[in-house]
Amino acid sequence: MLSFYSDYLDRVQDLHNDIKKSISGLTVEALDWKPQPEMNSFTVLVDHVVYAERYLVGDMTGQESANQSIETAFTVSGLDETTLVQKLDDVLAYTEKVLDKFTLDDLDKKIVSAKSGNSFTISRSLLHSLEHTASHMGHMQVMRDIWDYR
Amino acid sequence: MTGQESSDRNRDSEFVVERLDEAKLVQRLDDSLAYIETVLEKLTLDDFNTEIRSERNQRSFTIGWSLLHALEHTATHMGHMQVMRDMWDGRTHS
Repeated sequence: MLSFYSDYLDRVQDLHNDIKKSISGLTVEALDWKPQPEMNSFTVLVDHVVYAERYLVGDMTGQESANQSIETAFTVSGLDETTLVQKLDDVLAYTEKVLDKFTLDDLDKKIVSAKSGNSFTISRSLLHSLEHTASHMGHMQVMRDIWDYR
Repeated sequence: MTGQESSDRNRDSEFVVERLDEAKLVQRLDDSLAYIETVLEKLTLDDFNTEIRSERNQRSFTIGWSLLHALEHTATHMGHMQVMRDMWDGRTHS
């Protein structure tokens, strides 16, 4: 794998590790807890991060559709920590497989979203995936602090 | 790191700053974005693999790693602030 893509994978892996820290030791009840009614639970956020990474890295960057259903997004509940960690590990392994095929020149290549019809470069798709995961990891870090000190 | 142009960063001082208003904070963000643009303009794709060394901890990174880390670092703190804002609004509305 080229250095840029292994750097990318390194950053995603660190974010996943921070997510794992945020949900570490939490019961199913705690994972389904929301700080406020209109906010999302840990489980919803992890599921959403995994969904988005598979979509942005696989469907968009790798042009390999997973035909994921968005219908259950933001309503998932009742999953335990082990299941959520496995989801993160599976999508990281998939990301590694996709990135292995790319060169630096691929970063400027245009791809079209089957969902919206909009076109983006591969670099934009990858960067969006990274900052999307990071922002939700940030949500989970603060949520964990609130949970621990509630 | 990426532009190899020292800002004489004092990390500890970043966590004690207070009493700035919204306009000043927005101006800082705008200034930072404008600076980023001047640095990125000089880079090529091949530069992503160039190794650079941190003066602070003497560790080596690639320019690509440094840029990716800047992005996810900002996004992480943006996430913190989004939840903080939700909690602040919830507190003042209750």
